[in-house]
Amino acid sequence: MAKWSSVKPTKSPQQVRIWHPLIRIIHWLLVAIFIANYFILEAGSQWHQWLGYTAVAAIAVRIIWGFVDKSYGNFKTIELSKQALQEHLQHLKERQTPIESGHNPLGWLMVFAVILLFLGLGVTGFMMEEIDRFFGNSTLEEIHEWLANLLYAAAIIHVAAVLLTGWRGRIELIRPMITGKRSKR
Amino acid sequence: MNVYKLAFTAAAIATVAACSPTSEVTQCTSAPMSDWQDQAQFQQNLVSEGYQINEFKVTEGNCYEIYGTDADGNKVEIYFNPVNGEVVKREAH
Repeated sequence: MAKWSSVKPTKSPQQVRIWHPLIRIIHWLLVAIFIANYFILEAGSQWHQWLGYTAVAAIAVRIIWGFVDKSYGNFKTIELSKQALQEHLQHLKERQTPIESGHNPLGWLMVFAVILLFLGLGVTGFMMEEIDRFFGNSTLEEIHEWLANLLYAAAIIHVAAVLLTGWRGRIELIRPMITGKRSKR
Repeated sequence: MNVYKLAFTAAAIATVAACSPTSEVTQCTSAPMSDWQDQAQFQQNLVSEGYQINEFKVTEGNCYEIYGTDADGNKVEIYFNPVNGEVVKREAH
């Protein structure tokens, strides 16, 4: 290591800011609500319903924030082209994912999937509880259950992808979602 | 993070997922189904007591569950013991 790099300035510019606090709060809120509603609370209970509506509200805030965020959370930064995907795979191959980067193309797809699944859960849940004609409707209940199972599958894929990408691409992914910051190499 | 750590973490997640508790389920009876009241008769009794049944279900917790309204017109979700017809849990909206 070169001599100069070991001299640390007091305020470390060794770190770059990746995720805004609002995005981090929403992320972990959704995690907590999913765990509570899927694994702990009784389906259809009052708490289950209120937490579900909270999740939908969080999703709504996230969508609005997608037009406001000044960093990688803005929908303007969405990249889904074949070229972007190839670039990302190339980064993984070279084991050099850029430090200053947000969602890769597959990551964005996961964001959309999670948004749609939470909204679908909110709509079907609302219909079978609040619209009298569908009160307790079995078909809606089944759809609701399948959406929840799909969300669980998405969460498992997400965690696996984060671990795999972080290892293969030599990039910190978990800490930025907690502290907001990523260290430079 | 090396391959072994990664494999270990993946295995740990899979184990947690497989062993994770399933959500709370209202249990109504452990009696065999042969001891349960007839489903059609059970619903008919409720209707004659003034209930309106929107949806009738047999739950995984061995309950007869109805979604509908009670005699006073309250929107209710009720879990019954299928053997003696007792209300195990009642949620009003």
